[in-house]
Amino acid sequence: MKVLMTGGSGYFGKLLAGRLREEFGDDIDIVGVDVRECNVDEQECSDMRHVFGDSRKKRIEDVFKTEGSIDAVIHLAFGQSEEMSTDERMMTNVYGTFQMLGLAKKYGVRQFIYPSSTIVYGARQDNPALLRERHPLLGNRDIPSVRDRIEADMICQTQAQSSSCLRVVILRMVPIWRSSGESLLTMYMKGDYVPTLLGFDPMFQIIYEDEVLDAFMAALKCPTARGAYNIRGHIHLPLGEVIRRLGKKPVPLPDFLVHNNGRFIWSKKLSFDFNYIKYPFTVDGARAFEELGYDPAALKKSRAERNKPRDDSAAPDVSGTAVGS
Amino acid sequence: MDDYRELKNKDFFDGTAVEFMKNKIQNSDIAFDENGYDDFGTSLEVISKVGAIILFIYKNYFKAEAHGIENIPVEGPGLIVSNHAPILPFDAAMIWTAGLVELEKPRFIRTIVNKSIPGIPGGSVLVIRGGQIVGCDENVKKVFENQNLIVVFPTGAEGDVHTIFDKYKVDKFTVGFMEYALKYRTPIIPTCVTGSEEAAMTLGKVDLNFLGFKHLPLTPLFPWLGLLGLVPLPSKFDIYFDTPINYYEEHPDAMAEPKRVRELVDGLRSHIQGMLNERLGLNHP
Repeated sequence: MKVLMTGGSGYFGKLLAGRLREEFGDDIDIVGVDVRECNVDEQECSDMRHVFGDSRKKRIEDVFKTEGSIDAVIHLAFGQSEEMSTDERMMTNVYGTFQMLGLAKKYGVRQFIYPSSTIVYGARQDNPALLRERHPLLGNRDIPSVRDRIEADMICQTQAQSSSCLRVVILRMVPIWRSSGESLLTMYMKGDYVPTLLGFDPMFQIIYEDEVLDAFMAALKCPTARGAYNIRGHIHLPLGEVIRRLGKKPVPLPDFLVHNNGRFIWSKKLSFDFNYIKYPFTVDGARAFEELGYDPAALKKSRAERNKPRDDSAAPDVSGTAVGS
Repeated sequence: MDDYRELKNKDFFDGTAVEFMKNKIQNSDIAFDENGYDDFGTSLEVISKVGAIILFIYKNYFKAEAHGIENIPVEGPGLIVSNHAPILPFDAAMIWTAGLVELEKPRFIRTIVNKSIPGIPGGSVLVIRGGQIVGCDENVKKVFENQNLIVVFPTGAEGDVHTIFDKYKVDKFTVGFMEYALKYRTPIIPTCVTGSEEAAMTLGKVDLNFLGFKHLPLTPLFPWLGLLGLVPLPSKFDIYFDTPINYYEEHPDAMAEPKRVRELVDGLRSHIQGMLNERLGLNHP
């Protein structure tokens, strides 16, 4: 089995490569395509072969030509760095996805996996308690990263419906609890006291890194997977309770003391749609359970039996970066 | 303890009633996860505490009685359709309590709340943790998939503010609930609540559209006593559940014809009005 992974040098690229190697052993050839050099020690990079390539450029086709028969493409590349211009990010996130899909189709790849996020649904006061996959994508398009996610998600959906040879799988992840790295949620949850909006405590879902990897494995192994799947972890709690689980203290404050014109008052770096901490955008994971066999509760149990029990409160931060947000 | 009538007044202050309600809710048809929340965000802890207060009102203040409780299906989805009194939804709270404490196998009856409620500070926390759901197709479908019951008051916004001079006159019903009943093939349990209008005692209303509200109700106590004026007047509540009607079985093709749906809704409104007329000696059309 040969898997091509864009964004392979990123945080989740390395984690996923390790998991694929663990699962398939020598039966898998993982090709990590990235514009970044692999700057960590050799041990961490040994799970995949690194190839320099840019999904925005036409020359990315050379990778497909050189590698020959590829079974699956996992498109992790997603730019949301503040250093990138809006146009540059859009080229990476939207055009890059479009180009990779076209090449996957042209070179007879069987499966294309795109990790999206539940932020594409948007947080709205009239949202149902559990959003299903066919719910319209009403995320706030004024936020560039949300807009790009929606655009890329819709491109993938169109391909999933129209292409008979290429099975496009969209994994819409709830915000990811990362063990390292910086993201919108990490910045929001920075410090011991986390401001929340007074009078609002929406239900909130988070997912652990290993649950994210489980979802990728389930999608990769399912020969009939096609279309969008909501991927949730086993945590589904009010936001205040999630903050407490992180060992922090929620501080409910009036709206005007938390943000001003979309910018977080407590950290000038942070700018996002504050409806995500005001209204729910929680999802129903039934489709992933029924079709992919992805069951976070059962996986949690089996992991607990396999390994020693994990201390949830020990995790340093909550995050929804590269893959999730 | 299985019968709420055995609860003494002191039990409502020492946590016994909270435990009683918690036990009833856990034995009902609602499933909580290991953290004590269900899919809709209902909190077992919150609803047990709130439920104990409502049970006190049910038992001691309104001295509510449920009649025809055997008409509530033992299992499976269903829509309880009832008349509605103005201002605060004590009728909904009494029907919810009856479902939990009067049945041998308790049933958790959901109320649909307006989509604007989660936008009100505190509204989302109180209402959603309290087990109610925002009115939208996905939520209703999920409740029926979970084999739960929903109570609806289809008189719409106008029905919310009729006065005591028109008491127990059931206003025109909206059709949304009937479409759900036909679409999801669920039975409708016609229900009427008496005593609720006297508890609200609305004398009139002031149009407050310019302030973003629909109306401000006027009662002998509100707004003269501020929020204290919203406390309901003591009144004997009686809840009558009638035999369930399965509209889908009787009219399987009605869904395709809006006119027939309207006729079915008007028929049900007349049926509930008839139940009230019969019990209260009224002659509302």
